Amino acid sequence: MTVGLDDRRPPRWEWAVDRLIGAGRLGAELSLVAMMVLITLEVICRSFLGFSLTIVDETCGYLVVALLFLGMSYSLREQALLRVEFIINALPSRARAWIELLFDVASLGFAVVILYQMGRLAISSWQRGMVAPTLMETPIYLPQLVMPVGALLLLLGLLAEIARDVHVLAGGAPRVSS
Amino acid sequence: QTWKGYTFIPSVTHAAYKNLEAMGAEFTKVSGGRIQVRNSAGGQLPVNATSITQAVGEGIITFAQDGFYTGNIQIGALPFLPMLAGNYEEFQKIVALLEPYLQAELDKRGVKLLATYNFPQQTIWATSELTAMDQLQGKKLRVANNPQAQFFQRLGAIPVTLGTPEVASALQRSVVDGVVTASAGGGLLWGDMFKSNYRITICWDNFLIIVNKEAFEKLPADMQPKIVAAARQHADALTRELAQSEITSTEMLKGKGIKMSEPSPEIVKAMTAKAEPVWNEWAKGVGPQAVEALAKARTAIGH
Amino acid sequence: MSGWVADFALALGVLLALLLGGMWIPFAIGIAGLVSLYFADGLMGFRALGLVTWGSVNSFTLTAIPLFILMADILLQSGVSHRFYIGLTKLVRGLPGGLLQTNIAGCAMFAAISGSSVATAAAIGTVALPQLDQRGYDRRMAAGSLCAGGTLGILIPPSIPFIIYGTFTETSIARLFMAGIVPGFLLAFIFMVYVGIVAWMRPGVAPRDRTHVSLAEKMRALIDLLPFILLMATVLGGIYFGFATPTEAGAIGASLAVVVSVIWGDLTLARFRAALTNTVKISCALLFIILTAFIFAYAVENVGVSQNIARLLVESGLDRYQFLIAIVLMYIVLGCVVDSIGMIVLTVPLLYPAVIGFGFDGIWFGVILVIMVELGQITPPFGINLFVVQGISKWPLRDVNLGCGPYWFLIIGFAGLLTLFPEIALWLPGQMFDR
Ligand code: NA
Ligand code: NA
Repeated sequence: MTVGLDDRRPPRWEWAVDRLIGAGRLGAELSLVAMMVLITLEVICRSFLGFSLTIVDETCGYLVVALLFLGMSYSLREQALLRVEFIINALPSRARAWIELLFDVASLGFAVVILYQMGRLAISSWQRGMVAPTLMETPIYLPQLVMPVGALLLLLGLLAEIARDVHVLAGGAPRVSS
Repeated sequence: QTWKGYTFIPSVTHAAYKNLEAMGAEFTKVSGGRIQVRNSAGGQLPVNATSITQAVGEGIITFAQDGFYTGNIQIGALPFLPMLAGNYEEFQKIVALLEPYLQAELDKRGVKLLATYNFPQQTIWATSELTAMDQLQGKKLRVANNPQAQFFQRLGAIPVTLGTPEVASALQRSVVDGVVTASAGGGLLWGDMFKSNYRITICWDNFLIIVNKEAFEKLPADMQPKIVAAARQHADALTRELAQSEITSTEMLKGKGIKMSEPSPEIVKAMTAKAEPVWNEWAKGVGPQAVEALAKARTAIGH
Repeated sequence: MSGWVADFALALGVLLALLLGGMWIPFAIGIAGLVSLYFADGLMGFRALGLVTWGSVNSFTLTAIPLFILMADILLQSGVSHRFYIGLTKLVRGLPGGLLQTNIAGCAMFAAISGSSVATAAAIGTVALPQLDQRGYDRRMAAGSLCAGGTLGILIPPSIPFIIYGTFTETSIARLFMAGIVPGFLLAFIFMVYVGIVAWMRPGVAPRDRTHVSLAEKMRALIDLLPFILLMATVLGGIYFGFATPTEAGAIGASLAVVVSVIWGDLTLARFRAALTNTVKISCALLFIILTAFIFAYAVENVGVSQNIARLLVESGLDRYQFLIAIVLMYIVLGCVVDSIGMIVLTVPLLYPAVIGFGFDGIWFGVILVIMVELGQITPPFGINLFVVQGISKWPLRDVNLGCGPYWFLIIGFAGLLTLFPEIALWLPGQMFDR
């Protein structure tokens, strides 16, 4: 059996990307636990103890943002995003590899736009001193910061996908589709 | 040039949206067709009610009815302070003296204030019997903002903040027991679920009509005052229409069997005294401008 | 006038090309949105992306999506679902169709604690398929019962599609949930009647199990069902009696699932972490689609598409039933290429104004929409439940597809029934909310 390109260990930078995305995933998991605990506490306090924590509605909104932005690159990395594969599966493998490269580059463009715009929003909220019109009066740029961070992780994940596409086009084995 | 109009009111059949459309048509008319207008109601664009000021500043929306600006423009919460204005004349005085402060803050965000209008008096609506303030003890009350929450907390109520779409189901399932709103607002939306209405005026809601500064200043100099005049005229008409609707809605809701009671002047006085520390705390929290504006307001209305 | 048509056609064309080409769905939707924004307003159009994203994802209501997924996953990881299925087997085996009936009843019950069809089909399928295979059940019948049973996951509350529909249309999620109960269990009943008839006519599809189940065994089986009944009662009862909003019920359910799984199953910290990781993976994939759909919706709303479509449809001279049939046909076609969440988020913002314009009830339409989504989930080539069941069973996709055929017609017929008798959906919420 010949030693194919695939038998090499993943390059160091891809390993680093996986660690970063893994850190994002951990943040998403913590956000998930936090929303579960906070809402449960709120319902118990309100129904049985006669007071409201008053911050749960607002905090959980931020936690959803954190969950999505910190976790979406992990979904990408795990190939858990949905797609329609019946046409692409019918194509010869080389044509398929080219299309995947093209699509991943286009997706990278999307991620760049998102990264730029999310960063701009957080900065604009910070410069304008915006606070949430709620009891906590949260400086709004703080929860918004997680959006550019998540967009950056997504961008890194896509770079890894593109590296994989190029690798396949150079004759390596394709990733097993999940 | 296409101007995008937006309102925080999530209904195309509401008087406020109709007013926005009429105002937009007037903009087209006074600009001699130079301004074309496209309107959306709250929620039709995925721009939060609380982000409208920022969206107008960035030109994503050109002009808007802005109801939730107090997060962007904290000093704007002055007319919302509970029990501050004792009657409508006092409320109008407060709004008038607030305007320069508002415009200064809006300027920094690329927004121009065209006009203000207001919702009728905000009173307390409950799903159970409520004929006196001490019955608020332990009740879960949906409030609009931080000063209101602190006020009701002092009265022993449990303030809850909820998005508008969640309120109906929260009332049905007693997640909240009451709401601070107007007859012509939440009264119409959730009237079926209320049993009583304690008509103590907590405040009047002061709303803004704002425009993206850059788009406005691009207009010829002689056209600009016409736009302002059109906005003011429609804002005033909307205030009057809402006030009229408050009267008919209150009658209608009374007819449906909602028990309404009025507070005595002594009660109002006692509640105002209870609210006073909340005003001061709010002003201190916002900054010296707010302290100054609050002092001016209290001089103007004589307490 | 023509401006919006060109822009919308461009957005739609790009979207379909990317979707059919096999791009990850959220990127396909997002890029179509960006193209449309660029075409209308140039680079300036992108300035709204920050506020649009923040405005759509910063939402308390959306917490229900990951939390309902977490609840179901905890039960799966801890083996509680497994005990539940085996217990149910002992109770339902007497009916003609045997385990096929267990599949549908099991799915219906699992649906009452799970918000998604995939979770439902996977939870019951994982446990059921080895049993079915081992006992020589007919593959097509077995696969069909699991795929179709799985779709009940979104009609019987809690339901992620109802939450999303409620979020986009600002209709009451509590009402939508209550509106799904009667149709959901009725549809389960129809499925069971169908299975019974087939098993009666062709006994070979479902081998009879003649072993005797003692009363003690039946009691033990009931205990295996207890955690599920407890969770169902808490989630639905919590909403009904006002302890929690439908959104909050997701968190209560997940917390209670932890408790239940420690008592009845073997939930270790490692398994809890596995459930968390899996939930992040799945819910972020869904939320990512929702986010890009908000961007797409903004892009087409930016040029006034939904108002124009609503106006054109209302002025088109179609009567309301022709309009409804047109919508149903559109969803059948869409169901071939888009997944369930995509179907809702791409169409509802565009069509809802017209639906209301034609005088349909918003809650009733939500139920019809979810039934159309169920149909899409078992429509080849892109039917998510087909993939789930095929993935677990490793049977030929052809058998799975063919097994679903009859259910496809049952679901269409059921949509017709709901159109003739809207009370099937609207009676329960009416009883609850409009006393
Ligand atoms: Na369900
Ligand atoms: Na499908």
